[in-house]
Amino acid sequence: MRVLLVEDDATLADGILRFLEQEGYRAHWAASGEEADRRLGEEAFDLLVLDIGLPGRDGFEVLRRLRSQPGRTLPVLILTARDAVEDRVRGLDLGADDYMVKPFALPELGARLRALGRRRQQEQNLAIRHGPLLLDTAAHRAWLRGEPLELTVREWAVLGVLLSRTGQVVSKEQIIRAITPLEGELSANAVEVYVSRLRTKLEPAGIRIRTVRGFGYVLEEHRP
Amino acid sequence: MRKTSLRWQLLRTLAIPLLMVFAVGSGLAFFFTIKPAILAYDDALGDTAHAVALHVRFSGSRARLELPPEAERLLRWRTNARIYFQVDGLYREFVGGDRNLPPAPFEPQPGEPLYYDGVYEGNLVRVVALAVPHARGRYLIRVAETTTRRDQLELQTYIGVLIPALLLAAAMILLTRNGIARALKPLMQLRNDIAARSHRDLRPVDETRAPLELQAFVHAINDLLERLARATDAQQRFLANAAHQLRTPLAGLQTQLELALKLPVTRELQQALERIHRATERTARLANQLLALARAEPGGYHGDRLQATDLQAVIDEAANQWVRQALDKDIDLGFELAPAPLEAEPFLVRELLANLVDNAIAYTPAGGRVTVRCFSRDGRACLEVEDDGPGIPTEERQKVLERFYRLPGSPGTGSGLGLAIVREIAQAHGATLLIADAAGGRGTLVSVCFPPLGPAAPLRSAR
Repeated sequence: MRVLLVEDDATLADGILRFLEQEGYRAHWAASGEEADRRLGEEAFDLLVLDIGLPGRDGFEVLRRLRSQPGRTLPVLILTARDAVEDRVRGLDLGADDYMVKPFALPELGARLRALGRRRQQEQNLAIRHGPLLLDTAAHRAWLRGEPLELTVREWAVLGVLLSRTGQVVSKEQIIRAITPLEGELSANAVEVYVSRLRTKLEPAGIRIRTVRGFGYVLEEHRP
Repeated sequence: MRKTSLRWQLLRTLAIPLLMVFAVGSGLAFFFTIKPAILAYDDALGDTAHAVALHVRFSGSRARLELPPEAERLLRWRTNARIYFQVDGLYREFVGGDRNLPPAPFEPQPGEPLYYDGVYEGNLVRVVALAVPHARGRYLIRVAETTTRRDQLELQTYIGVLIPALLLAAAMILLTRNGIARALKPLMQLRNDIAARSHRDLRPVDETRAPLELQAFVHAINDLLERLARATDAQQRFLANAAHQLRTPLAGLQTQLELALKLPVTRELQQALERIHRATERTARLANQLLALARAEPGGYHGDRLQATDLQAVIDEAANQWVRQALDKDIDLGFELAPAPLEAEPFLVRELLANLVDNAIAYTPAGGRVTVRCFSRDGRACLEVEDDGPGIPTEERQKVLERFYRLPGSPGTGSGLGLAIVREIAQAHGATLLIADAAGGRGTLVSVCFPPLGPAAPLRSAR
């Protein structure tokens, strides 16, 4: 996957680029808003990591220009020193998919980028990998450690929501909301049942779904 | 330096001259009242002398007194006083009456009575000497009266003048005092107004309510308040900018360190890198906390940012933040959320919540339990964070709210700012903050209850 990093601080940019390479991305760097605009116009990327406080054309402007072009659904993660509510809201309103405040831990950046990538893959019906788990979203078929895995439609849907937000807590309401359009009414209890079934199927392979009491579930990042 | 009381000074400068005026006034009143009375008594004494003169007969130049006893009784008759008289002839020989009356200081003019004081038989007496002309010279009549009556009159006059004067003076002082108190009342009100303010309240004092003389003073105070507000604003901005500007280089440092930690290096270098990494994380957290503190402090927020929100929504949105930490530490993180509407600055509430939960996770040992609750009670939105960690001893509960204070023996990762931020934010919203034992008796329960929805929110009045 090709990632464009827009960041004016050279030390930070160098660190992030090296991390992205280690994570298996092909990472490119733009040090200014103008350069980012030009590269986005000329090349195709799968992910954009965007700083807001840039000299000259700032990140908001880059994002606004990007989203004003039709068909530019490129996932965008804003990475900024600004954490005021207004800035967050503005970034998300302009069409950013995620928002991280500096300083941050690299594993978290990795997790969020993977989640963004997965969402894009789901949208484009591509194969998704999570450790020993492989999902072919187009064919609705799954493999665990190379063995075919039987999943009901609802289990598939719940797993899909969790996979699109690995390492992040997903509330029961979010799961219900994501599934209801496909499946009709679904109770919180039903969600618990599906999660419990998923656990039975996935835990032997070391894939853990943790409970956040009174809130929801987290599909743990896979740590080999 | 001796403290001067305005009230005292006014009272002194008014009361002392007033008392002097009264003293002089009553002296004069006394003099003018007593004078006619004394003259009347003197005239009566002179009349007696004239009456005595009528009873002096002459044989040639030899005088004699022909006074029948009835006439003498009549002459000597006075209520509350004794009368003495003495008649001396043309050659000042004794003619009749009492002997040895006090002599006149000088020879009186004929026909003009001379009045003077003297002592007779051990009593103070008022004496009149009257020189009566005769063909061959003048004979002298002296009449003396004990001063008892005059003394009584004097005393009565004295009392009659003094008592009203004293009453008047007392009334005057009392009125002056009350007048001063009333005149100073706006000043006292001003003092109370300013004293009752919170340190966040840098609004100007209402100048229109101050009396004319105080307006310049109030204006100066307002000027100072304005400068103070500007200075506070500048300080907040500086702090916020500094924290802000620190973030990018810190992010660079942290990123490079995290990469370096994955490199194959010696054990010693690995350990050093880990320590630097931990220190960097602490520094980053500190920068964030300083920024939060700057925002929670006076000048760091504005009342118009107050929004209708719900604790449940704020927690929902922020939950993700702690999940990773909690899962890493194998802490059972739980939420018990009920609708809790309130008016608040969502960013600050999120910061308050983050500090409470961060603390709970940091100080609860692995495998512990942390529960975040919100609910509405009596119209007040309440937030609770409960853990089953080591707890905070009762005597430390006040101190942990102070900046940079850390519990003795606590692990070396905190800055001591977390709970201070919580307190600042709670104060900024007029919320009550309580640290108690957790339900099971083990661990800490921190609860924050916001004021009920209504017009009395303190944030709103802060600007």
